[in-house]
Amino acid sequence: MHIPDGYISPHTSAFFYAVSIPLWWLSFRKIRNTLKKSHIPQLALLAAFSFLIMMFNIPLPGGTTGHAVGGVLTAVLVGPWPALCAITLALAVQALFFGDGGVLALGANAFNLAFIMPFAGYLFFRVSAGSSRRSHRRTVIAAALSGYIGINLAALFVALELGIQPSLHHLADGTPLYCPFGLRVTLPAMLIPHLSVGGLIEALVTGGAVGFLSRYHPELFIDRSVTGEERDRREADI
Amino acid sequence: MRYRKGWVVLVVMAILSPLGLLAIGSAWGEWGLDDIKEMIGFEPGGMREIKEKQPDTVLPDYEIPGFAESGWKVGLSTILSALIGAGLTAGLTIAIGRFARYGRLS
Repeated sequence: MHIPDGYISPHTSAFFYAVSIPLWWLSFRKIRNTLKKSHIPQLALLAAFSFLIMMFNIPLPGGTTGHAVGGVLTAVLVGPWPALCAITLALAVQALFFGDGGVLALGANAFNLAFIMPFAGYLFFRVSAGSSRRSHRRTVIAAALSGYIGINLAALFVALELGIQPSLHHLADGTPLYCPFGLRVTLPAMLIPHLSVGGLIEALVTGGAVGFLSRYHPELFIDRSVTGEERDRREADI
Repeated sequence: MRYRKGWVVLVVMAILSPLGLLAIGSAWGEWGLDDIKEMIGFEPGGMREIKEKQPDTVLPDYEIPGFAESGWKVGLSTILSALIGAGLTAGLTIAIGRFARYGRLS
């Protein structure tokens, strides 16, 4: 899921930096305006959790390996904008110190794993979990499904970014310059393993953690829109 | 220390991180140049150019250079990498979070 350098062209890399830099800025502003000082250690904890969970490689169908990301879990707990910052930092450390994912490709990797995944998962969670007076079971199922959807959408974007390379950049005779595989190869190669097993792992991590934390540590759900606090306050104002 | 249990969970995860190495095979689309050449018969020109210019990272593949290639020392170097990486990630997040909170100009 981490695109290494050399698989996408410098143009593609620049394009995704151009998309991601404003998103990082918005994330920074959101942290400044909505998180309390005491919430920062929790954000750090989740960023480190995401870094670590990505080290647990699991064999996927087709002879490849994959791992959970924790992007949706982070978004459900602290909100998608702070999650964007946390997951980006985990990806940045992986790229800069461990050579996992490219430095040039960091904009693209952040777009897939720190933006698409947390935001898609978060939106689905909000819609499917419903109001603040939901049952515990519904919360867990909604969280698991959100994790499944989030990681698969990220995998879809990785496949698209890699798969368009041969048609974007090739020599006159058609020899590819970067990722040599087109969409017909990248789409099934990324999606089949994630739809079948990778998504289940993410669902297990997200559903399990949200289920446990909502029962024993509900104070960790600092995203107001998830706890329903915002709505309660609005109702109190009326 | 706030979130003590959370930090304990992270240390346990770091200690278990060598388990993540047991999975056979590699992630799709994250191969080196040699693997690509083996798969398709040539090295894509642009990819080679970028990879050749790329500086080496400090701890490639979550291993500490100089540690043995096999045996328990690999596991230890993975655990150390996990601790270093998780620590760096958490530290960076706290730094940026603090900057966001205190760096307010108005």
